[in-house]
Amino acid sequence: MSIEVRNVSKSYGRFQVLRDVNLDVNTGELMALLGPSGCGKTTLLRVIAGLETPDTGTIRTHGEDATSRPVRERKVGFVFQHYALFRHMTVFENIAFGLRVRARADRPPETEITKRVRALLDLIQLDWLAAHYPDQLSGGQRQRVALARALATEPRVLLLDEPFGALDARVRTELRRWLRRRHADLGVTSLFVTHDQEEAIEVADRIVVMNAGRIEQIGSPAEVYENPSSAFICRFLGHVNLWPDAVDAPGQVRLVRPHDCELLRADPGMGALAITVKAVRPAGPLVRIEMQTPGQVDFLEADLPRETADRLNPVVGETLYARPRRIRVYPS
Amino acid sequence: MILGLTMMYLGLVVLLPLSTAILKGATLDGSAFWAAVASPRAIASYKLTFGAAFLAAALNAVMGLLVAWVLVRIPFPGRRLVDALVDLPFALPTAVAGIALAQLYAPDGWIGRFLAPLGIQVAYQPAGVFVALVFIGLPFVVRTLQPVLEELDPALEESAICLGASRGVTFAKVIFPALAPALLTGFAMAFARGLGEYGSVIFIAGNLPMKSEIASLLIVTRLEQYDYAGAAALATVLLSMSFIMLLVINSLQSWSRSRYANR
Repeated sequence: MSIEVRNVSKSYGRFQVLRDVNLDVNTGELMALLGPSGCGKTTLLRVIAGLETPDTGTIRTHGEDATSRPVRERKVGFVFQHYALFRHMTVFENIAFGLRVRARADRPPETEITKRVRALLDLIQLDWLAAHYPDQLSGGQRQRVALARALATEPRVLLLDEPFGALDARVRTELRRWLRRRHADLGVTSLFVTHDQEEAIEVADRIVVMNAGRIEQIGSPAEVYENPSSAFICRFLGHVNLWPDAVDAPGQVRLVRPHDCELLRADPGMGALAITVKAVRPAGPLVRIEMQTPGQVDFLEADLPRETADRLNPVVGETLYARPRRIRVYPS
Repeated sequence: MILGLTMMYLGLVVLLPLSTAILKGATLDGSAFWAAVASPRAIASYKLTFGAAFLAAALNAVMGLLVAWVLVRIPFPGRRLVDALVDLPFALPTAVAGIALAQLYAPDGWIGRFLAPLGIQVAYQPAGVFVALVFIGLPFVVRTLQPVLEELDPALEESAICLGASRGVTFAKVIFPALAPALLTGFAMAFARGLGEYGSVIFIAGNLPMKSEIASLLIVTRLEQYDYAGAAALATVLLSMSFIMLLVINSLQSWSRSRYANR
């Protein structure tokens, strides 16, 4: 086990940010901490790094109690959302920083430092920018330099706080695929914070979903997406329709994902909803139908495969019948 | 249009009065000018003025950094009050400051009485000039550093510490380079103010010719003796020396800025 978080709680004044959090991160794993803003995920990451002190609880990294260890001795690599590169140093000097500030006794010789920085520059594919300053780099390049800088000291644990958050959409996708592919070679246990469910599903081996200072569910992306343990997670991971019900079931929330929704021209009975088609929007391989049931304000959504949609050929304004293939029921 | 307006304004407000002084000084012929500006008394006053202004600005650069750091980074009760206090030397009539300082540092004053047994005399001595200039210059350093410190991303220090740097190394290699341009600006402003300061100094300096007489006081003395040309000659020298020093500091500053921001 690389990181063990035990019974960690933390408050700022009267606001409790973390409530009795327990978490294990396996060695070599790439784990996502997912949750809405203000759920405590960044605080948890900073507690693990030692940048914040927990009120109660312990942090162990590689079996050693790290709770009372100063940050600089924890051997933790930290990547910040806004890169935090040193502007007056070149890319090379930024990456070499962690090696050059070591006490003389365990500082590698300059030739060794150069070798290691060169290797990292190759890894991030930016060797041609070694002599440039951070201000001359794009956002994606800066974040890769920040990653290389954090890896230079060969940390046992890599913590990333919204690492792709400040990048534009295309660079973000590129960089997270790159991280996904190269992570196994890095040989480091990583935990990254994100509020983007798509990012968590695409990059992580396992996902930790947090809400209001608590961990709600831990599992593989498939588990968390297919079997969300609560209505909150179901809503947070992907689109979901709050399904109106003919039979009033108090104390229950019925949720249907748009792709679990079938549209039919004839009423099949069995709890199908009569709906009016409000909009038809082709989006890649799927066609999204926005629809409304009489007496409801909110629109419902159905995602149909293109073929099915072509065959059905829904027209705006017409009445169809919506039948859920799968309904998830949670206590409200 | 805007450039023209700026130039005209600067010309009217800054250049015109200065050139008048220079022109007045130029009414003297070469040897009379030299006699006016290179007399031992004048040389002694330059030494004191520039020396005290430089030392005071240097001390303020160090202490001002500390004050700005505490005001920005360390929350404590009464911070707003202390913050406002920093501006007092700006607002206070300098004569009031001079009189107050002279009282404090006089041999029987609150501070002077503890220094006197040690054989240290501040008031009515060259050291008094230094004390007055320290008082006057502090807000320049603090107020130029504060906004830069507030803008400084705490993540910079945090990443340095995560990378294994000690507090000292983090300050020297990460924080100080980021603050250096602003620190130089603050130093230059405190220094420039020190060169021109008159009001507070004359009350505490004692104003002994050759010993504790600052250059601007010597100019006033010449004026009182109706030696307008002599006063203008001294002013010209003071002016050109100040201008050269500020030019040097400014280029130093743009050099450090270009090194830092790489532009």
